[in-house]
Amino acid sequence: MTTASFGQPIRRNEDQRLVTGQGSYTDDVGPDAWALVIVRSPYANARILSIDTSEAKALDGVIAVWTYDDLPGRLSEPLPLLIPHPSLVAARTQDVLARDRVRHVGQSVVAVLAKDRYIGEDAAE
Amino acid sequence: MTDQIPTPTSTPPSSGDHDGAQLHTVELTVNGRTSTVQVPARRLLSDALRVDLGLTGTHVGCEHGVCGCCTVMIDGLAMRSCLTLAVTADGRDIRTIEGLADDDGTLHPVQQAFRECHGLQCGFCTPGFLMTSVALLEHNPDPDDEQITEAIAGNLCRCTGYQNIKAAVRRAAELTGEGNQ
Repeated sequence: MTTASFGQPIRRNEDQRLVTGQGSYTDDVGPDAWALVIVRSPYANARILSIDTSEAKALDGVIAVWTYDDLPGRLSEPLPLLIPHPSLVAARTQDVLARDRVRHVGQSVVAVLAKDRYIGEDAAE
Repeated sequence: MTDQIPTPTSTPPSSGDHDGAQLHTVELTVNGRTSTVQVPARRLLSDALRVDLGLTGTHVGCEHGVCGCCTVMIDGLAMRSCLTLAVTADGRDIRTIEGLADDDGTLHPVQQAFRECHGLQCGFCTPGFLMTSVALLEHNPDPDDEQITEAIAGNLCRCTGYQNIKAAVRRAAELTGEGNQ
C-alpha cells in the first residue's frame, strides 16, 4: 500500500475466491472428516445424576462418546485462564464437559465423535 | 416440475446399520451439469451438494433455516438447501455460487458488486447473500432500498453490518442494468 492509496477503497485479494465459493473453511476440509456432536444441557441449573452412553456407543459408525468422567489428566481440570488479570481474585473457568451439574442451558455435557454428522446426531439423541 | 418421489433402488436396508439405510437415486442438476447420486432419504440437499458433489461453496451455518448461508437457487427461487431434502431436489434446476462466474472467470455482476462495495469480510455468509441477491435481481432488476432490505432479511452476516451488503446489491442492480444496455 502506498500513499497513493490513501482515501481510496482498496480491493481485497481474498475476495475473488470468497465470492466464487473457493474459500476453504474448517467444514470444507474433507467429506470423510469425522464429526463431533455435543449434547447440551436443556436445563439452566441442574444436577447430573447419571448419564447412560451405552446405546450411543453401540451405534454403528460411532467412534467415541465422552462424558466428564472420561476426560483424562488436565482435560478434567477447568480450562486455563490464559491471561490472568490481577484484579480477578477468584477466577473461575469452565470445564470442557459438565462435571456433576450444569449451570446454563446449552452447556456441553456429552461429546460424540462419529463417522458423519448424521450418525453423530443419532447417537446424541 | 413434478413432485414425484424418486424410485428407491433395490439396495436392501439392513437393520440398525445407518450406512446401510435404504438409498434413493437422485438426479441433481447443478449449474447445468447433471449428476446421479445415491443418498439416504434424510440426506439434506446442502450435504448432498457439499459431500456428494464436493461443492463446498454452499455453506452450512445454523442448519435450521435461520442464517441463510446455505441459500441456493432451485428453479429460479432462492431456497434454503439445509431445509431441503436431496430427494426432493430430484430433476430440479439448482444453481449454486460455483455457477455464478463465467467459465473464463468473469465474475457475475453480483459477485463484482460485493467485491467492489466490500460486501463481505470473512466470506462465510457470502454464498447465501449472493444467491439471494441473484434471485432478487432476476425477479426485480431495479429494487428500491426497502425491497433490498426485505430480500436479504433472511440472511445473517456477523461481520459487515449489512450497509455494505445493501450497497453491493444496489451496485449489482446498476451493473446488471449497464450490461443489458
